[in-house]
Amino acid sequence: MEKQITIIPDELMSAADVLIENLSSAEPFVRYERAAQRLKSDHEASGMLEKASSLQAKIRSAQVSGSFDQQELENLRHLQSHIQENQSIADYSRAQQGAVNYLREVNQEISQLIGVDFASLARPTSC
Amino acid sequence: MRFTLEVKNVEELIGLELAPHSVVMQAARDFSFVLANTAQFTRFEHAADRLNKDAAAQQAIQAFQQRQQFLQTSGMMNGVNPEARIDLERLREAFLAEPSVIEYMKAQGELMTLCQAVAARISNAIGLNYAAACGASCCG
Repeated sequence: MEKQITIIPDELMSAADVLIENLSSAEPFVRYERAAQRLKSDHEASGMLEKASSLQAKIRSAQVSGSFDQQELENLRHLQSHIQENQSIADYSRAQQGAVNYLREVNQEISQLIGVDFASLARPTSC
Repeated sequence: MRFTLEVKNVEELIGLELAPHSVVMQAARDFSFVLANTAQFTRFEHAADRLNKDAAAQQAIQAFQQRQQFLQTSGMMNGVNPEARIDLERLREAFLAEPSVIEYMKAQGELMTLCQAVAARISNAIGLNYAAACGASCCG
């Protein structure tokens, strides 16, 4: 099925771009971007996150097929404790939460003015 | 440890031109103003107003909601009572057939399509999913 392209009116596009520009230069987002860069260049941290993600997927599919292995779960817990100790991951997680909080504040401002929750209007209609 | 971290975090911001909070909020307000003046938003507001004033549509919605609530509280939603389910479907179809409801749903759909497109642009640029970060997911 062809994906429909929504045309955003020029004036709205400009206003969105100004908002994007300002958001990107706001302290929480600068911190978030820096933390994301540091995480990307920390191969040990990225490797642990990738491994945890693939282990989680493996455990989920094992649960569905009924071949659950307790040892895999122990491995995941062990890996997660290492992840929590990693400085790049901890910094990234904190910076991401800061950016999320800031975005929520911006969304609240927009929503109060238009009288509807903008994020709810923007949510996808299906997963 | 905490002191070291704070110094490191301050250092990474030195020399950068940061947008003050007041400027970001003003950009958010300007964005709201433009969004509220789009054709999609205006149509949505008019449709919502018409729906609120349409007594027949309000009655049809209420009838559906009351029956749905009754079935939920009495635990009859899981196919226990097929007749009740058919009746609920009849009430749902009745309210969805009301012209002001049709108009409202259409206007809401068009506004959501526009907002999704704008939010996708914002999300791509800032590296965070706007709707998900603000607590709105497709599943609830």
